[in-house]
Amino acid sequence: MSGQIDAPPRRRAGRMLPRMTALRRREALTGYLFILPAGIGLLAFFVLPTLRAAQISLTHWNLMRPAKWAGFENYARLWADAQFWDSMWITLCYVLYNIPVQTALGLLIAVLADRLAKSVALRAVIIAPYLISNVVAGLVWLLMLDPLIGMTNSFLGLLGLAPQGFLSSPDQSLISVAAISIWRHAGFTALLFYAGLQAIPKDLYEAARLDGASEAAMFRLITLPLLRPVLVFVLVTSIVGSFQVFDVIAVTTQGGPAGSTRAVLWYIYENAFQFSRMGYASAMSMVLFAILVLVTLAQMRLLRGDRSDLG
Amino acid sequence: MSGLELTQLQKSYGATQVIHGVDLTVEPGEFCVFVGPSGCGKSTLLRMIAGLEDISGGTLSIGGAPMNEVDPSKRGVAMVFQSYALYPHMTVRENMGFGLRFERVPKDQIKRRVDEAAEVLELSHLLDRKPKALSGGQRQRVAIGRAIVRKPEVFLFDEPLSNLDAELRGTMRVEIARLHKEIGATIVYVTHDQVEAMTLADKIVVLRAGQVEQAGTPLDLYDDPDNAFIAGFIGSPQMNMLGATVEAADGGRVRLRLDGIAAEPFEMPLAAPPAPGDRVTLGIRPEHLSTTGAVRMDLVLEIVEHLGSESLVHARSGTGPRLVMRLPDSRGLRTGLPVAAGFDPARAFLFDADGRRLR
Ligand SMILES: Nc1ncnc2c1ncn2[C@@H]1O[C@H](COP(=O)(O)OP(=O)(O)OP(=O)(O)O)[C@@H](O)[C@H]1O
Ligand SMILES: [Mg+2]
Repeated sequence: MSGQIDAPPRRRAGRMLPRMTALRRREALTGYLFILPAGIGLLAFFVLPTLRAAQISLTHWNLMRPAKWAGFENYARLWADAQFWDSMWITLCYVLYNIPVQTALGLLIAVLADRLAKSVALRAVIIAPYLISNVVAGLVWLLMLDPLIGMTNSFLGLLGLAPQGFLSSPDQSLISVAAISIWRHAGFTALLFYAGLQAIPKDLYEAARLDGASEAAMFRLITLPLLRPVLVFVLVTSIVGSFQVFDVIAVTTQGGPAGSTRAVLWYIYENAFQFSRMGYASAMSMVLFAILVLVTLAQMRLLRGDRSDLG
Repeated sequence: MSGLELTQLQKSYGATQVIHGVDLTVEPGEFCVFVGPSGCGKSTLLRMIAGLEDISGGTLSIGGAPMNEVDPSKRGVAMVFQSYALYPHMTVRENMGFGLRFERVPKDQIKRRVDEAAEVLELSHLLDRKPKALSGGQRQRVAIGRAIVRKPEVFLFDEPLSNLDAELRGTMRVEIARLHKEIGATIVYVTHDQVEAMTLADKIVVLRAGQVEQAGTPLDLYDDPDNAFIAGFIGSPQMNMLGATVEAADGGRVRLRLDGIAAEPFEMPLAAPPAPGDRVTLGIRPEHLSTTGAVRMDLVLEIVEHLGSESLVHARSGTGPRLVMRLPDSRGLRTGLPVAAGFDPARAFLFDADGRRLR
């Protein structure tokens, strides 16, 4: 994932009255003025590029000559492109390696930090990997996972284990990329969960203790249900982010070896900037966009993420 | 039904000791109320009984069995929190039945017991709601219901009514009293509210700075306080405390002169009178000041608070101490008017310089 997390989950705003009073109208105006800068940013950097991409996806364009109208040709081609669907499959596998481990690890770290050590220093250490950019993290791990000179294999050697291929082995490359991403993001996920845990009143746990609930029962029956909105937020952002994995692949495997890490964004990038097929790349982007919207809506729906029991 | 026995109970947080050896017996079925100024350790003591705080020293036994190391859920206690502590994601029924799941009570029995408790508390029509959709008083009743369902030996309440408005507080107070009669369990109840303490308690325990100042029935504490702190703490408005000097003392009587108030010296019976010249404090309850009375004081009226059935009259003598009188009929009184106040020395309390009661 590429760090798309920038806003906490929003509470649903109170329903507007059918007729607004003058005061309310003025308040609403003030509200809109406050979100205006964010609105302009959203328009300039998200909405307009998306519309432009939609437009380009209906053309053939190699950046040199003017774009030629293509109708839905790019979409038809995409439909029949086995490589595209293969890259979707690789991306899906990556998401499936990445998300469960990252979420479970983040939750575990958060609960341990909450129950055992509420230390600022510890939290700083936990979140440290997130302060490094994906590119640097990728480079660092590229060195550490190098089959010949990397310290990971030396370490395995000390434990009497055989050296592994990691990023250079077609069987291990995707898992290795996922592991790097987990290393970088689990701490941040933990921090989100940690914040969510702070919002759960402590006396609920005291009441549960008197009610005879074990630690495990409290986690299952109190913590998890009350953490649901945060969990949904974490899942939606990290799944969407994982579908867009790119920079770690770019600095470590570049889609290889043997195409084993050619995730969809990497394939789009290849088409756009190596084969100069802007129209085709845009069409694939639009399809990915549509898929992500559906995935997000489905998640919100399934997990009722917009509703919190707290507060 | 079991009673409680606290022996030299202590609690320290690191180097700070907050409970300094509390000895207390609560009889089976007794309604025991903890009162005391903020920070005196009422909640801490209650939480130690519940098992939510470790006990640093002394022993706690419930129903005769030592409980220091026993898990909170195995002590036979149920607690009602000030914040209610209802599980927000569960319905009222799930909230009330939560504890029974862990006692391996069969589902149909859980349902029956929850229904019974809901009946008692008039919650039957709310069983499928979540706490968010309840009023403050209803939430409070659910919290009580959650405690009742478990059929505990001892109920613990930590300022259960303090989040409710005055009217609801009155209603809930009566309900809690009724509940205590109905189920007859032992109750330990923490409150700030004088009225709650006086009306509910079989026994009031007044705590100060982690120690028991006095324990007894509400009227014992009111009529016969052990020291100036209790005398000032129990009763609202507070007892008037006047400085006085001992003029003479002999044969079980003491002659006193009030400091800063124009009044004749007067005599009081006292078994062990202090020495002449000693400074003492005279305590007089507002209702024991009247416009008649043996000892007369000339005061000037400052403020009258009309409560309808009675009035609280604040008056003082020159620059002397301010006194509060509770007078049945004083509609004619106006600020600035002189008041002739008086009291009967036999109804006054005397405390030495350290606040100890002189009897
Ligand atoms: N975790 C803690 N560490 C140190 N001191 C504590 C801790 N918890 C409570 N105390 C201290 O213990 C004392 C008793 O606290 P407690 O909460 O029992 O008071 P209380 O009588 O219930 O007060 P209130 O009427 O305001 O609720 C207070 O002086 C408080 O500062
Ligand atoms: Mg308290």
